[in-house]
Amino acid sequence: MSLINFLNSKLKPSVECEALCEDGYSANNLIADDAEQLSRGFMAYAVTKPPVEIVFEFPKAVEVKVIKLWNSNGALRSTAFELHGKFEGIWERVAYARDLAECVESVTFCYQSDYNSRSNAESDAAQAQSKKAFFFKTAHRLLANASSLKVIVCATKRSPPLLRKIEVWGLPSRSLEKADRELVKTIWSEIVNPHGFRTPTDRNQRSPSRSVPELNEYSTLKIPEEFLDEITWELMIFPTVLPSGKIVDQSTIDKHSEVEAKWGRLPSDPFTGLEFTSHRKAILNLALKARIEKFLMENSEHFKTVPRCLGSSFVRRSKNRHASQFANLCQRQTSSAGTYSSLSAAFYKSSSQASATATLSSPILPSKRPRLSDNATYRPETLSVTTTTQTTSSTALSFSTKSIPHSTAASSALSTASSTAITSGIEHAIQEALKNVTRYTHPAAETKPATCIRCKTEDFSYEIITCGHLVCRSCLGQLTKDEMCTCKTTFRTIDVERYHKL
Amino acid sequence: MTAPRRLRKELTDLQACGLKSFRDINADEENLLRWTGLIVPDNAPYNKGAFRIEINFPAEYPFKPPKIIFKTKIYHPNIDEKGQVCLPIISTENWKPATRTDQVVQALIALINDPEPEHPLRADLAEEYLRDRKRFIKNAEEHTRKNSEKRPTD
Repeated sequence: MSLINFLNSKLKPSVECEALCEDGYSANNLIADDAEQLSRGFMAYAVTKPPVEIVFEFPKAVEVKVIKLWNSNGALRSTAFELHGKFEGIWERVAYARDLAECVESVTFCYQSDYNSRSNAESDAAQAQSKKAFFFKTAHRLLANASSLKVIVCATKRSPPLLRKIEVWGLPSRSLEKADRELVKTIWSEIVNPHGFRTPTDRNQRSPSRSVPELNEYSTLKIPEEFLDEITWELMIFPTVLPSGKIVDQSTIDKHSEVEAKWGRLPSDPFTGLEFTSHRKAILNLALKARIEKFLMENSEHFKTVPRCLGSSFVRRSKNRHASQFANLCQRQTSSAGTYSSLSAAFYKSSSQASATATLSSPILPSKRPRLSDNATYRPETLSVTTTTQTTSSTALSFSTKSIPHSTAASSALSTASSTAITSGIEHAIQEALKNVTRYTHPAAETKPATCIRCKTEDFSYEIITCGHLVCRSCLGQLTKDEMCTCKTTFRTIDVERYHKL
Repeated sequence: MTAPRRLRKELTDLQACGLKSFRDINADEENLLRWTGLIVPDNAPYNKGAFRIEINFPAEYPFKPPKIIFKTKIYHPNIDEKGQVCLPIISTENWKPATRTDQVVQALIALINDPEPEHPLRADLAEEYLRDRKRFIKNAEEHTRKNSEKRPTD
């Protein structure tokens, strides 16, 4: 059982001192919440002579076990203390410490019986700095149920009476209601352990979080029966093999044990009713857990949420995140990006800068933007192209109505066959462009998959950086011979890059 | 914690297995925790009628046992006037979460066909059952004829 410091501010003690105090050194510092105040402690006004009485009151009665005082503050030291407890309204002395030596920094009062049993805990050096003093043998009746405590500074060494720090360690008095005692202990455990880390005793019991992935309502996915708990028929998170050979979730066993405990029975196999022993107990089936997790990962689109790891408290939304949807998304984006890049390429050529830069196929990279500034007049629009490719549909739409006509005009003026998507006529161009804009509200089938510029196969794997066209390997061999793309853009072999489909 | 998956599975299993003596099984539209069914006993004196029962599952099911209530009045030493049944398999202290509803129903049918006067809910009927079997059967038959539902024809 751990002792509690009843002078911690959270346990609401109160302090009273009739003597005048030095500014900023009032007795309230001893029980302050603020660390800075706490470190200053109490000091009486400079001309005050001892004795000085400081009275502490506890909201609930305390069974005092140990009291620790710090008697020095820098060079200033108090050298004698007396402790008084109250019994039936009369103060009575319970302990004293006198003639504290120079080296003594603190005084510890405790019961002699307690001290003997744990005397070798502290090192010698620490013992020299901290003087031990014992409560009187008769002190027990005062301290077992103490609701107030008086500390008297009896003597000082060339200084005003001072008390830098005081701790009163003990337990909630046994005369209190059980609920009160538990409350005090709870408060103390929160003080000691503010973040609620589990103590080792709690850790023995596995209590997995119950964030079972839920199937979407319209999903037709059938979960294999071996992944289901044989009692609750839910998907298992911690599949555990029972002594009877049945496999259930750990939470089911915990729940069952809890219900059984209400009847005073020990944890047992829910199927046979046999109690668990060291030889006959439930064992976590890790292999099955791994298979369940694999199954979940592969079918994640059927579930509302899928935790990163089953049983972990961290659950992320699976929406748009799992691999298949993500890949799909990327593909759509690249296809539209391809159109844009071809548009931009045509537009770029119209400003007779064809050979200058190459990077339009990857307009998303901000680092490459400065290169576009060669053509100062058209730069804003070029940038609008680059930015909108990655924005959502609404902005993409507004973009397309605004700047595609321009590009179309440019490209048609040059009468190049560069972009497959664009023919003559502004409205037609807009419609064509809209088709390729990534619209997240429409199914994927609407968008045309990107193809090789020459043979129209979807199996392209290279990209010509100069014009941004995608080609397959066989076509690339043909094109590299005359170093010219189908769109009549010249390129060098170093301008060809491997294209990675997502 | 409820186990809707388990309940749904048990319901479909029970409906699929087509027990002769327990039929017409339905779950409440909005509340899967309440089922109704029709008990059709084989033995005299109850073999002239059918008895409507209601099975109520607690929210903690399958960690707590279901409760069975007779909606149709029955003259039986183990079933009281309110329709409560004394069935050891679903008593709270004997309950095992692995017990399935079809086992519970089987046990109930067995109890109806063969009353257990050793632990009765209605002591007067138990005494009559033990002392004067003929009178008990006569009373029960009359009671069944008056109160029970019609037996399904097939």
